[in-house]
Amino acid sequence: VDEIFEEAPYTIQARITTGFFTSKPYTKTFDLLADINGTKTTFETDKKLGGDGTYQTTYTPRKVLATEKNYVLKIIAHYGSGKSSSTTIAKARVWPKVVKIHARNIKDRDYPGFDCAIEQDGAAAIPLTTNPPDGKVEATLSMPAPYKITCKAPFEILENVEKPDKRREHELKVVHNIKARFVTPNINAAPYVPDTAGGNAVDGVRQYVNLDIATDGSDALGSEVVCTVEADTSGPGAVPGKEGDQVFLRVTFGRESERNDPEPTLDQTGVEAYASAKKKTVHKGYVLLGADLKAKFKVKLGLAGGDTCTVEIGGTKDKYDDAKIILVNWRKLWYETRYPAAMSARLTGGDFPASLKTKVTERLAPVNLEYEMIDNHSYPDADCTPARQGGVLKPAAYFKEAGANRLVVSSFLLNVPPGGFSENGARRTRSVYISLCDRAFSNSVTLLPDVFAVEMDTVEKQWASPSDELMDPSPKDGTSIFKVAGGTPSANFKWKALIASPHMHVPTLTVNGVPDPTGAVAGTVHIEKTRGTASSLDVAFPAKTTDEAEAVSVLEEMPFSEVTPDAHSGTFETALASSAAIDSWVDGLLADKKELRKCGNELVVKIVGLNGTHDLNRFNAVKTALETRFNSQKAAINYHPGLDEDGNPREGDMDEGWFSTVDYVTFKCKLPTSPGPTAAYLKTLPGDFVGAAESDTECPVQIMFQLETAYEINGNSGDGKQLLCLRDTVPGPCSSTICHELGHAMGMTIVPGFNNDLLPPGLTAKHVDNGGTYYVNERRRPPVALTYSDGRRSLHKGGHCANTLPKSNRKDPTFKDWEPATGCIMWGQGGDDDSRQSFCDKCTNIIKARRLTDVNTPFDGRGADQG
Amino acid sequence: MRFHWTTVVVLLVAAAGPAFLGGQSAKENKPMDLTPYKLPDDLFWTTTNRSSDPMPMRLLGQYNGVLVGAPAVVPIDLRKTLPAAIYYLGPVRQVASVKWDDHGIITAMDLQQNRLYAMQARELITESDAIKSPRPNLDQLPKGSMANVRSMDLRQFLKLPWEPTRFLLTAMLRDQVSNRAEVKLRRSESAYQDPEVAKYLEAERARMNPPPPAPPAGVSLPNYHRMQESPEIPEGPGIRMVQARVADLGRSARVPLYGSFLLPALPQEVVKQGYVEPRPVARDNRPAEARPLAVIGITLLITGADDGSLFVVPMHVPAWSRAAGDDGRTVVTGYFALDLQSVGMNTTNQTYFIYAFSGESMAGPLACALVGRRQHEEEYEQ
Repeated sequence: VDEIFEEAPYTIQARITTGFFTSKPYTKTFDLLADINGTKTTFETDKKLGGDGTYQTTYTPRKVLATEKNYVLKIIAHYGSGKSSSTTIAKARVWPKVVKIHARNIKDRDYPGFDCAIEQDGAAAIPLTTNPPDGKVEATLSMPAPYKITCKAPFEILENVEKPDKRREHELKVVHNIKARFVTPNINAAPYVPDTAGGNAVDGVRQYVNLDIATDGSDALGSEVVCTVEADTSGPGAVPGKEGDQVFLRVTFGRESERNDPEPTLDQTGVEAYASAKKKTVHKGYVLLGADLKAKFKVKLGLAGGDTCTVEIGGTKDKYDDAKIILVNWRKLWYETRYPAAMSARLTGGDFPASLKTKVTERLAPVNLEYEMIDNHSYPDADCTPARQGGVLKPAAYFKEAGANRLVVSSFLLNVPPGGFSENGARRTRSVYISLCDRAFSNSVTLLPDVFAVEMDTVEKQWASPSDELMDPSPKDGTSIFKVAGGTPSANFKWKALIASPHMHVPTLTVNGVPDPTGAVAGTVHIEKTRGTASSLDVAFPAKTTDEAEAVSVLEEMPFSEVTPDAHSGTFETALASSAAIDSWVDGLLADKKELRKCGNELVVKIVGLNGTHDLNRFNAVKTALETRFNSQKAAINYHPGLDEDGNPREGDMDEGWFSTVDYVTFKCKLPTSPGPTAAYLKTLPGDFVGAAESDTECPVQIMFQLETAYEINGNSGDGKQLLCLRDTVPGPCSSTICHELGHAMGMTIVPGFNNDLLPPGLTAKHVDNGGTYYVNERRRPPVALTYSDGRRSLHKGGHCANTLPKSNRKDPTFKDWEPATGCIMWGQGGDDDSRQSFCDKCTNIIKARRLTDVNTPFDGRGADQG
Repeated sequence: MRFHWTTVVVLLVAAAGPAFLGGQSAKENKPMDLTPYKLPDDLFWTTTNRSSDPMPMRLLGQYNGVLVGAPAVVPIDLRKTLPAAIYYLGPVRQVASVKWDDHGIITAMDLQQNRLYAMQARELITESDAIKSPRPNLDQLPKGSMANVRSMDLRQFLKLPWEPTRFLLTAMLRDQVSNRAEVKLRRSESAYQDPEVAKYLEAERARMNPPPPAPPAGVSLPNYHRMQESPEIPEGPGIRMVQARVADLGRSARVPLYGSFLLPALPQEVVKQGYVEPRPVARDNRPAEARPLAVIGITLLITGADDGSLFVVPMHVPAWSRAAGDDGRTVVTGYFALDLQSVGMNTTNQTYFIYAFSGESMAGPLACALVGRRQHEEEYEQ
């Protein structure tokens, strides 16, 4: 069979002979027919052989029909009598001369630039490239023979369709197998950080799914990430991509969390041949490079921390090994700090000290959470006063510690003024505003000052606080914690001398031994009470009759200063005519017990008189009469410095100034005493006579006062604000307090049926009475039979976790005072022991599943998917 | 042996007297007229510093024990709170070592509903992360007396219904019982008083049937009939209880409490037509029970002497007999017996004080010490 092209003249040379044994040229006429697929067409008739016994002619075969791949041409000779004999004298396969190729891509779109070739055995391959824009090209075959259309990598012919009616037109479906790579996200550069940085073993990068999507999520922010892919031209043999090239992708979600809303998935927009498998955890498809030679697709990561998303791409069908990224869901929350300048040195650029920060980072990593300081605010130490409400700086010794001053705060002592934090609107719901302090105290309105009536047995007395701790000034209102006035109706608190027994003492009399001539009057002896209320008596001695005129005359003629002491010695009598006046005066003084007590139970008398010889006689006469009467009439009275003039125990107003704190658990009172030079009988202040036992000179003193105590707290949180005691000497426990308070902000823990019990969708929580570990301090009230049930217990405030609680302690309202050696961070009480180093598995699961777009407002009242 | 009897304590406290007539400590039980020290009602709302009230100021050193102060009348349309104060007076050493905040119990008995509301003093501390204060060295305390004073809105803390009724407020500290302060919640005189509403509500209560006995009677306990151990019915209105003074859990897991009562029945406690009887026919080899005359609310309150725990058992106790001398009111008698362990009382070894409340009657404290460890304790904790 000859192989010939269509429409190419086909030369046939035939020899026709006759005879069986001898061959002779055929001499008669013959016809030649072309037989194509049984259709015979006579194209020469009544021909005869030439002289050489042969016949040569040409036949031009028709075109190969569109429906034919090729056809067989037979040249038949009809000869003999009546041309009844026939024989095929030539046979050829007729091939089309031109082949058309139309290249389309996988989406049946014209694909110009497809490099291919026509290959025929024995001929050089004919290189071809499909034309823009229709992706078509025609080729003229080199030889009439079978051909095939080939291409080289990266091209690949997926289909070669020859339609029955267009057998010479090849509809090719071609692909350009590229090596794919990610343009975005570029996980090898900031802001992406390897997930291993937090000690997590997942070989991926962190995607902060709780943050708003700023652009397309490819900057590590947000829960939806647009991946941009293109051809990787970097490696050996790499080829640039072409529009329409496929990038195959396989997205695998780890679904480590039970959170099921929103569900992690591959957004099908722009993804061809999408299919999912394995309960929608594996998604496949491909995207086509666009005019910019790039393609995009979006993965939705869900909101659960720790969930992983592995995105694999490849430029060849069913191969996804060109490039891979693993996105690990992380969350980021922020905090701002506020502190007085005095604390700055203990911080690192306003942030927690490095040792503390490291612990916080370590303990939050297992819940895929970063806690990052975004701002800090320092205020002057001068604001650390109750008036400025910046807390109070107390010497470390107040807390029985060494070192620098301690910042003490309470809800009153610390008040964050407007502008105290940034109030950054965009970040606020994901931020916690932390006011730092060293110690924090509280005393709610229900806790009122204790009232005391206690004994003093020394001037100064120091005591332990009987109730809670002492924080002066008051955490409630900044006033002194010692109060000695008030009352309903208002009254001052009193101190009182504690005298149980009478102290009977005979009064004493003190009289000057010699007359005091100052102001003396001749003939008169003046008796004057010199202590206490004034009282006096003039004792006039009668004049002697014979000397009377002379004496008067002399007195009238001579200035008094010139009168000698004895000038009138003989003028007046020297003996008392009667002591009645003196007796009466003394009796009156002795009868006035009130006055006696006022004077220290001592009658002090001064006798005024001239001091001449006769004057002395008169002085002695009076003194003797005075003493005689006093001694004969004096009687014991109930006298004690602690008794007032009426003989009642002294009392008086208390004074706040007597009190002071020694340290946070010790206070003292110092009673007032009179100044040193004060006469003994005037020492009536409680400190003057206070003593351990009641004696004639001392007695215990009862004082009354109010003392306001407070209790110390580790901190508190609410409304996106926290008060944190910076216990940087114990970074482990302090970091757990930070994580604990943050846990509360994240709605932990969750006791079903209690406040704020909105769970992340898909998760459940159990309390200590139904197989779980959560408990809360609310008691069921009558008529509910059991007081502590349904997770209610009588300890700690709010929802907490008792994950390592022994079963035998579980039912007890206080867990039998159990404390964990190693407990969950959400256990309700912390100390200086680092016993809460991590979140338990259950808390970890819930925190990982939490939607952390708002940690300021309660979870109650949110939509079901907002848990 | 069912349980170990060491000493059986029989206790009866009759109905409480008028408010502010009886501050009593367990040891002295000397009624004291507190009227002179009582704050005028309005001051409970206008001032907040209860430490300066006459109660602590004037009784300090004169009285040892717990006192309750509250307004006698609360006009519920004008006031939104029920301010109350607890005064705990005593020697400094005692007040400092047996702390009210750790051991105190506050109760309010709604006399109209015969329902007891109770809370622990520690619930007044609302801080979330308090550090336990260091225990003071008792030898370094002041010598003298002190008053621990707490102020609170009982409506908030006890979640009291805000409707006309009468409350009897009582505070307990271990075995010390305060005065019983009566507080009337009523509409003010300026509010419109609609007698028809009152009449209607009264009629409604009179139509209601009581709930079935609770906890339901068991094979042996709970039991609402006279038992061998049951105390005699009180001569006058009141409740009697007997209990093993010391119960050894190692010998018996049961802690039975036996009681009897003579109490007036509220209209809604009287059994009427349509009452759903718990066991009208015999079954489980137990005889059918007769229909009770009334089902009386009696609430047990148990507090731990060491841990200050509070455990409340609201009971609905059937009464089978009408009391002698019933003068038109329905006054009934009955018995109750139950195992405190089976109703959930905790098993911590310590002394417990048991109180019983019903209307104006209060019995207690009845001391019961738990010793020993319950066998197979784990089995009970599921």
